[in-house]
Amino acid sequence: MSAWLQVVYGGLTIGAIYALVALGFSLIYRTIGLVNFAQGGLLMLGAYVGAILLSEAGIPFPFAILAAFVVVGALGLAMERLLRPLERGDLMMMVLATLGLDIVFTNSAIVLFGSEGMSVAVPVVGAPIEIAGVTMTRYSLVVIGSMVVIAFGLNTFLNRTKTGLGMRAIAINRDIALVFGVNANRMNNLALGIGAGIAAAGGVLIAPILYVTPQLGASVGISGFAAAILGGLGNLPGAIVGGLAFGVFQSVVSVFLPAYVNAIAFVIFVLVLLVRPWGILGERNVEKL
Amino acid sequence: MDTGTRSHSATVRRWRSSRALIAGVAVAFAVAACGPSTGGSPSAAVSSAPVGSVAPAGSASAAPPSGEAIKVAQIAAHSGQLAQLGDWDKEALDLAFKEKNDAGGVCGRPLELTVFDDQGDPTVGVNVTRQALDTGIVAAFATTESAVTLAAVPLFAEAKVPHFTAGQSDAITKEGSAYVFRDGPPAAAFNKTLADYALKTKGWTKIAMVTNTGGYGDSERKAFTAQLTAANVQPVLDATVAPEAQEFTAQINDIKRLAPEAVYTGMEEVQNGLFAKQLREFGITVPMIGGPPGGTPQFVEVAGAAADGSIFASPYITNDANDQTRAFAAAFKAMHNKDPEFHGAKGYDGAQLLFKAIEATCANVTGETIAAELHKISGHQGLQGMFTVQENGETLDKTQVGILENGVAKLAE
Repeated sequence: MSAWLQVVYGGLTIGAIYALVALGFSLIYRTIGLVNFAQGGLLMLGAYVGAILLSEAGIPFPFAILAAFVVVGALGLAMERLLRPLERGDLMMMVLATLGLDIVFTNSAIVLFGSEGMSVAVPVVGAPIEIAGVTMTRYSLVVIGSMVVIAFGLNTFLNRTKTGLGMRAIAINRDIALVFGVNANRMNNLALGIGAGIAAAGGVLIAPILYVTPQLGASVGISGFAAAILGGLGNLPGAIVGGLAFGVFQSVVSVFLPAYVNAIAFVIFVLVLLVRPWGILGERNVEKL
Repeated sequence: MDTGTRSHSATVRRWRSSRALIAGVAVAFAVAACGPSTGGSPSAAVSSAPVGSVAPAGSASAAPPSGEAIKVAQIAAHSGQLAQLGDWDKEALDLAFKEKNDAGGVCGRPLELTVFDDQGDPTVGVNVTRQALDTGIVAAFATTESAVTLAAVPLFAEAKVPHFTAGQSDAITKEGSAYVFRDGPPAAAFNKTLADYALKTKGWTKIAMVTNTGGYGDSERKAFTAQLTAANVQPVLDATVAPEAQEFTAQINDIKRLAPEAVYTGMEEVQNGLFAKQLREFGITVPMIGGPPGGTPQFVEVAGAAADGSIFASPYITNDANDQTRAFAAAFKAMHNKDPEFHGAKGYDGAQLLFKAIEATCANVTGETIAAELHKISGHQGLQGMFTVQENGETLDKTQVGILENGVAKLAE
């Protein structure tokens, strides 16, 4: 039994990262109606910002996460301004543009940081903690805890601040929100900025676990996207559920067929969607895109 | 305040700016496509220049080489997770080619090295191999990865162009090509050394194995399993992971449960380093043993403190082994401002073997004549040991066991 609990716990750790990526996807989709295929690239850039600050500048870990959130969040704000002219036209053009930007981000990382990658030391050392036969490394607790803090912070922002309520209003009914004086452009801009910042925070958290390369965003980004769809695209609690579930899928599959983890995890993902196409917590009627 | 209404002129302005934006995004696509590739698409030569064709000021009195350049290609990963393998190899080739050109070239002719990036992908590797062969090369260093080499062997055999591989898979020299040569020992040699050390020197019998399903990992698994089987030992765990896997909770969970005396790994540097890191994070302290990736600077960089105590097999443990290795290391450092390691020694040895063969074919330098001369080489002292070229292209059959202590590789006792 404890062996299976260990497997599930391992899945929750990587799933926490997927949940952060999925949160960004869902926030942006819910507000703008855009599937941002540059989300993986933004995670990768956040990982590099974190790797450089942690490894070369010796910045404390929480500040590295904050710095990556701010820097890549600013990039997200700039992205929205760049893509804004496409917003009122064919949304598919905007989606294609995000695909292009993802390629630009990846190649820019190769030019700026080289193609060989960077390693980041785990910022939390110490013996792992054992509970009910499950070994929990200290850093895995940091990752899961950080996801909870970020999700809670986002929830508080969306429910307790005027700006957050404005973003929710735009997401629920754009036309009525506009009538009530909500600045749609500003809300869209913030959604992309915050979504990018959350992805960047995920990048910093995953950097000590994996290896930071320009290709990092591709593998983690696609899993985060699958998590967002699985949880219900546009549903923020669903993003968290989807992320954690997808991480656990991968972890369970790796016990039986470790060489085919990604392939089988995506097969399971497709099977779930065949039964419940709107995702685990998604809404039946999806208006956007 | 944005009320959602717009005038006709505003619509026209927005459409014009949309067209400008679409054009801008199209330019971005084009620039990205022309930039460094990141996998999945064939890549052209990343550099093409006669290396070391100009002798440095005040250097040897040899006449500078002249005439038509002897074209050689390097096909290796220069992007992606395996990029370090290609870079190490190229650095050594740059040194070897420069030294030779400074000394007058080969047959009085300059050597020209062109580099192709196979991205560590067999499909890309086959494409760039065809491109390289089309440039009229007479030899190649191709490739540094077993899986890509296996894909490229038939092309070189068909074109009758000899190529040196740094790949370790035993399968490479079983393809029956007279044109493939290894510039280091095969997997069988590494794993015999490791198995002897683990079973006889250390007396371990409970060994867990974790290997990847790529060309290198698969060959390591087969070779080490064969050694264990010959000694009537069964591994307590025989787990495989995908070559791109970076998270190993399931395998580490099994290791924790089975409590082996050592963990054998068959993975390249980065993946091996990540595995070591995660293994130690779980509080598992048993030694890791494996092939050369477990003794390289990149492994140390990725694994950090978890690299300490890693046991590895290699024919080139330290730069301080003898006068020849010290001279090589000094020249390498002077050129690249860093110390060489095993992969660099492989590339350098391969280059010296190639030069020797070309020098015996001056009247008619072709791939076929070079390959024939390579097969005659016997008793050549290289950095890694004594080279004798076998009919199947194998050249070395001995390795040593090293251990990492505080990030430095030493001979294991």
